[in-house]
Amino acid sequence: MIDGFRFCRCFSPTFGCNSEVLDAILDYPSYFELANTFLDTQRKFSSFASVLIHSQQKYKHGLFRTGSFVENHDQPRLASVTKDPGVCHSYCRTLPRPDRNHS
Amino acid sequence: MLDVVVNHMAVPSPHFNFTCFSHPFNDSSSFHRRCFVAESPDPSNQTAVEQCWLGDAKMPLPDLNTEDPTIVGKLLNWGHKLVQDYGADGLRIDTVKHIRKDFWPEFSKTVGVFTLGEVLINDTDYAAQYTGE
Repeated sequence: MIDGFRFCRCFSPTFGCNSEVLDAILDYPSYFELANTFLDTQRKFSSFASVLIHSQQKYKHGLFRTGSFVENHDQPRLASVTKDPGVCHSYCRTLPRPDRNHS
Repeated sequence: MLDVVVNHMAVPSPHFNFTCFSHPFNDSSSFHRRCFVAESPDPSNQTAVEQCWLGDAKMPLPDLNTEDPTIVGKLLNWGHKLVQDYGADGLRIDTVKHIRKDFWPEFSKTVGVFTLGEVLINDTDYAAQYTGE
């Protein structure tokens, strides 16, 4: 875990050798949807699910090689947005863990 | 994993002089012409995103001329040496969408380690372009 960022360190010899742009990106679109989903209590989780599915389909290596994160140093920290520990626990456990399927 | 910024420098003063930067980027010729992305007629215009400056008049982030092969060569050497010197096994790269896409494959290949880019945007289709076709 680096700064709220979790990523499976499954290095392969091909990293950095044949990338078309970069090996991976931080998944900001899913982060924004996640944050909005928890900030707006009227917002439906189906919208968040749609964004995740879209990311899985559009990113070259799906969400497996993508840097999913729940917060970082450039965005408001979760603790500054809510004081509800229940929301914090749910928020941090909402992202799927594609890495678990590959361990 | 090291966090690196390739796109720009930073200077907390509107009245800075390029000579305040370290060699070899201590001359205006190393940078794109000054214009701010945020003040562009269309801030989403990709050329403006890549070649204008981030920041603003109070806190400008002078944008390195990553279309210039000489500058590119220096940045590639720097990236390679940084990874070698510190034994990094990956780089988290800042402001990726502010440099042309075809800059990155060579950078990634030269540093020779896992590269994870920050593409700060709420648009999955746009972000996906940086993961390859």
